Amino acid sequence: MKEIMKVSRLSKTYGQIKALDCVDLSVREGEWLSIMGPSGSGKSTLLNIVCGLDSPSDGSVRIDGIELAGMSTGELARYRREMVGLIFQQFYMVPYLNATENVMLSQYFHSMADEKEARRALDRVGLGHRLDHLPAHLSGGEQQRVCIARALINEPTLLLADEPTGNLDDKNEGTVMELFDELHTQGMTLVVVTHDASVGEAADRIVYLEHGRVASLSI
Amino acid sequence: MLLHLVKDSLVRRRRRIALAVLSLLVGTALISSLLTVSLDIEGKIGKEMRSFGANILLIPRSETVPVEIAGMPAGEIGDRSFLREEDLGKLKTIFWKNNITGFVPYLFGRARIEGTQIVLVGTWFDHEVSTEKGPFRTGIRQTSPWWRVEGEWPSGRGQLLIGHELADRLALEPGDQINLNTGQSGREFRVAGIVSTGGGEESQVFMDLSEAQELLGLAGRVEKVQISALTKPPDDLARRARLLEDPKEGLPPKEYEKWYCSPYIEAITYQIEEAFPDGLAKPVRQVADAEGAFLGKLKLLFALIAGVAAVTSAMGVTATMSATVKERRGEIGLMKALGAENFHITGQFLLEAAFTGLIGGVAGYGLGIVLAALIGRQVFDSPVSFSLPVLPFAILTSLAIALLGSALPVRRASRLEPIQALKE
Repeated sequence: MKEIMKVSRLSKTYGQIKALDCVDLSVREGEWLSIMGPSGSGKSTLLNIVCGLDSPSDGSVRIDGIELAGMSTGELARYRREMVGLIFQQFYMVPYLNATENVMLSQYFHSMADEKEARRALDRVGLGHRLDHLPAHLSGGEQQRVCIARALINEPTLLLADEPTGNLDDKNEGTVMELFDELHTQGMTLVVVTHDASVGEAADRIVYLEHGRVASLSI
Repeated sequence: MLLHLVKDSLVRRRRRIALAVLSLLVGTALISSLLTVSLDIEGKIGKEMRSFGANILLIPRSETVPVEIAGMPAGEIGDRSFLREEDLGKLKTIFWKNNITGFVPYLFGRARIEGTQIVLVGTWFDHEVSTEKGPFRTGIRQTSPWWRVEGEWPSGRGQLLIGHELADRLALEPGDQINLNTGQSGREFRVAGIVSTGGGEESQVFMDLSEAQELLGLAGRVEKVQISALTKPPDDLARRARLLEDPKEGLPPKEYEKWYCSPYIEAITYQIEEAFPDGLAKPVRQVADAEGAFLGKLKLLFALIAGVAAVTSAMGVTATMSATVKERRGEIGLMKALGAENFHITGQFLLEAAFTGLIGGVAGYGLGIVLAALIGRQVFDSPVSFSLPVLPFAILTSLAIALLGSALPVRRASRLEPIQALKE
């Protein structure tokens, strides 16, 4: 299997604080990796660097052979819109755009907004009946599914999720996990940061971080 | 998608947008009203200035320098040069004929009233001149509206106007009969009125030109003509032409044509001299220069007010846009996280600013028309002519203010770090 993500000796410091300390990690194509660990262990920092929202202090991050360290702001923006799909714990949606338009927003930055395609993507995550609803009129689980549709719309190489079920009840968590499972079955590469053991255990592999270091790996 | 984003954003933030539009509206209204008045002001100020006196003097061309003593040309009548009264209609045939708003001929002579020597002035009080375009009324009453007459203006033969100082000296009052003798002939006149001008006219006697010509034996002659003309303040071309003896020879043909076809005072005097080959037309420099200087200062004042209005308006837009950017940090962060580049963010905010500028510009132009009409009525006592090019100017000005006012907040928005914005 092709190596999609390769993190080598990655470090990140904020002043005197070492958020990541010499982390080595790799993810193969189609693999589902969970990154777990206590609060402050550096798992979100790791994900932010991998998705190009933050830059490493030292080390290397290669996604599908492309080195992220040293990329300009514009190059990182291009990387985010073309290679990764992002899912956040807080959903983050534009409040005045409806579900379809929130998905189309991602298309607009990527290339060209296509309403039909956006509607199909929402249908795929089970929201075909909520296409024209504003975020305020959607439940937490529905909002997260809109975010998953948005993350998938540009057919990314890698799906990155930061605590995707952190704000969801059990029922909605189940729905999201089913979607992840389906995506994994279809061959999508997933990296999911979570502190929820039930979410983490659904992955092919779990990496535990502690104090910015890889504490253990489980298969 | 971009237009959709902008539209939704504007609709959702209509209160904040209304504030920005209000700021632009006030600034643009002030600027466009001042511009409207400024474009129309040359004519208006010209008309106002014409009420302070003629700005061109037409005298006979002679080899000697004309000298006046006590307000009348020096020398014996036989030595003096004259213009023909019948030629004066030619003033309304020159290229800038419509800018000639009035002209008054003068004929001077010496006479005695009860043994006192006085200066006799023949002129038009309110006279009808035949021109190509029909009758044209002109006279002292039109060109010197500041003359104050106690009694009444002469309205027929046998009536005259006596200067206030002379009337005091001779103890004359309106309605008195006097005998006026020029040496050649004498006649009884009724004092129709006593005139106060604040100038040398107060020691002179004024009568209708035709009667003065009869008394002095100078039928059909006039000695000088005061002309009121609406002129354009001098610019670089006018100042260069002023230094030339003959602009036709000294200026390149195209510049000469432009100069000739502009109502500069020198161009008008040039055209008067073309119509009066025996005449010498001279600008009354104090009046012309005062007009130019006044107009220049007024326009500078307008420009300063417009500048302050533009800056204030831009500051209003900056404040509103800054608040909008602050309010939308999360949204900007999300867009950047999804791969938006700086130009996506900048484009969206600038488009919103441009839309605001467009509304502010159109509304500002509308309010500007009302303001300009108000200024015209209150300050110049006449309506202001509206110039259509002010509309695109108002829109462009409002757009420029909106875009410049938004520049700093938009720059801040585009430089926002997505990770920080999302954490807030």
